[in-house]
Amino acid sequence: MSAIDIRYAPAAFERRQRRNARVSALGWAACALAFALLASALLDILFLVFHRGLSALNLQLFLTPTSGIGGGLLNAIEGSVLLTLGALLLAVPIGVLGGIYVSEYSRDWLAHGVRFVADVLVGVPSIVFGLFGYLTMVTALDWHFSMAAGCITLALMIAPYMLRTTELALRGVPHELREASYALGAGQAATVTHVLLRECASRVLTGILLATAISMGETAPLIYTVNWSNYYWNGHLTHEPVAYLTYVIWSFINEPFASAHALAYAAALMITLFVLALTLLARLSLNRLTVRRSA
Amino acid sequence: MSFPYLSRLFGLALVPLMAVTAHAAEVTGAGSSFVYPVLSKWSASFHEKTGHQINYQSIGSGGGIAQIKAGTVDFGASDAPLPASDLAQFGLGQFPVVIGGIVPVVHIEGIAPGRLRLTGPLLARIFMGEIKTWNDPALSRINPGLKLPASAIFVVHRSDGSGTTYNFTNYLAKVSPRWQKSLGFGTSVPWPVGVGGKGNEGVSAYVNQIRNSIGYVEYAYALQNRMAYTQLENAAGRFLEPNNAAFAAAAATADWAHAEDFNLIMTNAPGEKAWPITATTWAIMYKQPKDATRARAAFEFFKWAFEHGQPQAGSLDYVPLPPSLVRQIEGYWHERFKS
Repeated sequence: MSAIDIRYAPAAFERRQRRNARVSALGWAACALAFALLASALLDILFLVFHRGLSALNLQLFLTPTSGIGGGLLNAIEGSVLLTLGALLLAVPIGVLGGIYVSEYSRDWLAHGVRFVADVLVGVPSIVFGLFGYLTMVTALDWHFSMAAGCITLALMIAPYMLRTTELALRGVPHELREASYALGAGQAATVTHVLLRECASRVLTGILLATAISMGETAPLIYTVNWSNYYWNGHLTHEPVAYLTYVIWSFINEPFASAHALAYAAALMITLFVLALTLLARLSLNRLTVRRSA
Repeated sequence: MSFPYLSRLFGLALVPLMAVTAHAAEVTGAGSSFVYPVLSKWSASFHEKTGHQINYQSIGSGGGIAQIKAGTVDFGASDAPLPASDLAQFGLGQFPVVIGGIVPVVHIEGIAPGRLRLTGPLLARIFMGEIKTWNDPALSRINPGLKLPASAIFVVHRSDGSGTTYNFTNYLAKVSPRWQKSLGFGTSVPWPVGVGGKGNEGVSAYVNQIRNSIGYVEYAYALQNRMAYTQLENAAGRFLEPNNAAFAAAAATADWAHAEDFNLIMTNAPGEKAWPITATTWAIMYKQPKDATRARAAFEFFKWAFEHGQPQAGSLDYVPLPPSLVRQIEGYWHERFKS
């Protein structure tokens, strides 16, 4: 219809073209504005964290534990790293194996169910995981605030995320590769481990790294499950609270004293740098894949 | 499957860790944010002395009460006392730990800290929205030397439930029958005017940003943020500036001896030199603890804090408990708590 209109009414065509150009310009302007808004918010946060955090940095932070509202942050650094490692130890097998299952056995009704549950869990606010951890492990199992409760809660939060990224990574592998593998006589297990995972390993790793960054930056699930400690972790999995960096940000910024504020900003800087490093690492591993492919 | 970065990541993370201290009792507590600075300072010194670790998470008084009732911590801390019925139902006991002051703060051009005079009833009328401008005759009358602006008063209160609000509104309810009747007191009340800030820090920030505002914060926040706190007329009819001596005077004149389970709010204390909004934080513990070793370490900690922790408390703008009250608390421990 419109093609006919255009052929017989050049004036209308020009009008429409002008209008399209206007609308398009308006759309681009809106996009640019939205981008500028987001970018400026991010830059503002980064500037504040770097500005305040850098002036609060000193060697003591990395050598001593917190003492009251002053001291260092080594106990919190240790706790954050251990909580994240513990969560990864639990979540990586579940997430990656689950992702393989859902992607490669997807005709199974159970796989549909797992994918649905993972989708729902990815969307659940982190504080709900905290509350779940609190009700089940801290109180019902009587573990109290502890390393185990924190690690499991974080793992529950990031495992569905890894499951979905692993699944998407596997689905990104061209179907011809599967066919070729089967044609050569490989079974399903061999195809997955030797062909598919090798092909999309960096995508899977990227998912794991991003999930690590998420768990490192979480506060809400840990407030409910880990409490806070002024000391190093003493090796107990239950009944003993643990220190972690995001607590320092969340709590110390509300204290009246400058020394507490300095610790909070230093902790914010550390978390920001760590998450930034993980994100860059994830990017790098993706790039490497592309380079290897094209080489 | 090759994950080249993962092994490097694990290796990096494991380097600086694994410091294990000699094993002594670990005690966990949670609650009032008001006591966090002094409790954590005390616990650091106590750890050096005895090796016991006291861990305290500042999650607010309400959280502290919930956690001790749930039995997830060895002690809770609250700026509002538990009623006798709750104590009996859960088998809990409570005792004061430290004393501090709550002060009104204002942000008026040209008014320095400690200059503006207020009375309890006037404070109540301001927070009820009845006194609307700073040059109200009622305010000018008691501030003859001050030039107060004709601008509207901007009220700032807490948006979250808090022990600070509990003590502040308790005071207003004691001195203003109309406040008592229409708003009462509690960790939060239905404020008729003003905006809410989250935590003492939020109220401080609002008052610092907004001209002609008034709020109420713990003394340490007023000092550390260099805010203009006001004078207040106390129960004896004297105008006082807030300071540690005035808080201590309120603690000394309070009638602790007749307070069952130390259930006593120190606001509007009768002494000549007593600051009218002086507050206590209570520690709450089980009379028959699940873990006797940890409970014993907690009592040792509080005993040590009462006897040796006072200079540190003073340096953080808290007031030590009067000696007579400490003796009474130690008597209460022997009488009420097992172990």
